[in-house]
Amino acid sequence: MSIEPALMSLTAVAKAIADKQVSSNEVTRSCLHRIAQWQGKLNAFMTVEAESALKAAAEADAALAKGESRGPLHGVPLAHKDMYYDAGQVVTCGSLIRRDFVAATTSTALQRLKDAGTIRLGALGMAEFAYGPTGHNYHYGAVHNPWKLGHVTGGSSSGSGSAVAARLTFAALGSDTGGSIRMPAHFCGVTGLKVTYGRVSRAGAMPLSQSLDTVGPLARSAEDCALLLGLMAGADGEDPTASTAPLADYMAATSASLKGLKIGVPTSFYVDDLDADVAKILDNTIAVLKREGADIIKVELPDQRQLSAACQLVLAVEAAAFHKRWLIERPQDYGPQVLMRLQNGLSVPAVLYLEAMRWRGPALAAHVAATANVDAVLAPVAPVAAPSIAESDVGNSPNAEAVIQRLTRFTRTINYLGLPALAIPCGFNASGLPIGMQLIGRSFDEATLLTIGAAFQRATDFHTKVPSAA
Amino acid sequence: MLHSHSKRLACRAKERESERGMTRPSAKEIKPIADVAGVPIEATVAERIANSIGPAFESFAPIAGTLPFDLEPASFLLAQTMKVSR
Repeated sequence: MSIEPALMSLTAVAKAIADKQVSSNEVTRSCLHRIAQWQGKLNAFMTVEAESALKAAAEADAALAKGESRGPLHGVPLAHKDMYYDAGQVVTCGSLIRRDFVAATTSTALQRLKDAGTIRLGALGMAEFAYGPTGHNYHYGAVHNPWKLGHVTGGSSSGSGSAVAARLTFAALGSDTGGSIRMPAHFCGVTGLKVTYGRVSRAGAMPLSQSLDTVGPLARSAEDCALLLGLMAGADGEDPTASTAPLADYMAATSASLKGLKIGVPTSFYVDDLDADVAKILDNTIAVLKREGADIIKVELPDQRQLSAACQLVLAVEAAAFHKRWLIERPQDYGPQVLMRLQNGLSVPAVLYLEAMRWRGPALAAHVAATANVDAVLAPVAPVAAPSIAESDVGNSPNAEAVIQRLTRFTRTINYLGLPALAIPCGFNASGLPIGMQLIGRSFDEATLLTIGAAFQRATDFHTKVPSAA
Repeated sequence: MLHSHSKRLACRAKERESERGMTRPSAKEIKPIADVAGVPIEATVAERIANSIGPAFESFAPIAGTLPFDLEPASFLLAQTMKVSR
């Protein structure tokens, strides 16, 4: 095989292993080789488990030699955000408090990927308790952006974005409560799928906000996200919020045409205060989608600032409630920024929180009505490309929330509405940093987003670009 | 129905927003709330919280206090599955 195995897409490498064109051992060694090249620069991994990964790869190869395949991802090594419980493994959640926490169960999403044949490569870095949009981590250090060291990856799935972009893992689970999959996808130039609230079980995934948390993949293409979603989605007896709504054939969706699809572009909010590079790339993306057959329609969305505020109130309260015991017993063990964010939730009266929750239905209904004429909405993920780690290290600054709010203003509204959104790489700015866009869909209609994302990726090559380790 | 309800809310909210003024909590108000929540905080922390979360209170002010009595708290689940014809 001429191509370095680690550079293949998830779908391609899974097929190559199944067809015995490459062994799981070769693939795993290729990933480990790249990890050795990059880890010192990126800090993307919390742990690299080379020995056990190679042992599992050997077992996968032996099984395949006997004609036994465990599933569609047989022998594919993957690493995930260090917040997915994996029985018997330490799961730090990016924190000091859980530095030695050994999970007793395995999360449903992870188990479903294991059942499909994946191999554990290690655990990926993340913002402490998934509560930070930049990728800074007070305890374990910031994860770096492989496109430009010293720049943020976006968070909270910082290791997932960095490791997928650098081709250290074929894909990675992230989680998205306010933008934590889409922002790393945007800043690192990879594809990230924030699913509809309830589409993928959250059982065994570290909680941050029970009303907003979603589990989803970061990968190298829309097609890879489709493969992973098909394996993970669906009802789960361990998670009563996991929906029983029917699943689509997500892989089939990726080969559909854009012809006849209508894509909305907001007239305000998402087009305000954009850096010039982001605005230009948004225009270019619209042009490509038009050329591929989509109709572009302007849409006027309801007041997004109110949605954003409601999301902040819900997130702040639910996160503070999850952490209350540790806020009382171990406040000194949090990083200052995370402690600060958690304390915010202490100030919100219960009635205001319940109003924010109760408004969710009418707010979603208003969005559905405003977008009734389109199949998806196209919007930037963030108004800027990745800032430097230094300039966004807000510490205990009184302006911390202002910085964070600018980064997350285009993403958290979608979590409040529980909608699916697919972040796809759409270009690079003048400094060579990636810029992504998000396609926002209807509830439980991830398939249409994957159709649009895959069509865009057939027409462009931004998702195939690989950062150089030199 | 949820949508028309939402439109009515938006109109009513605009009228009432100016009547009610600011709803951003002060540090003085935040400290006792945190104390009652069981996680006492210093005055300086209360000041920082007021600056951090205050804008969210302000932006949500047009909605707060406007929701009708009979709005089903779980209507979000209905809205997730509602069909809208083009």
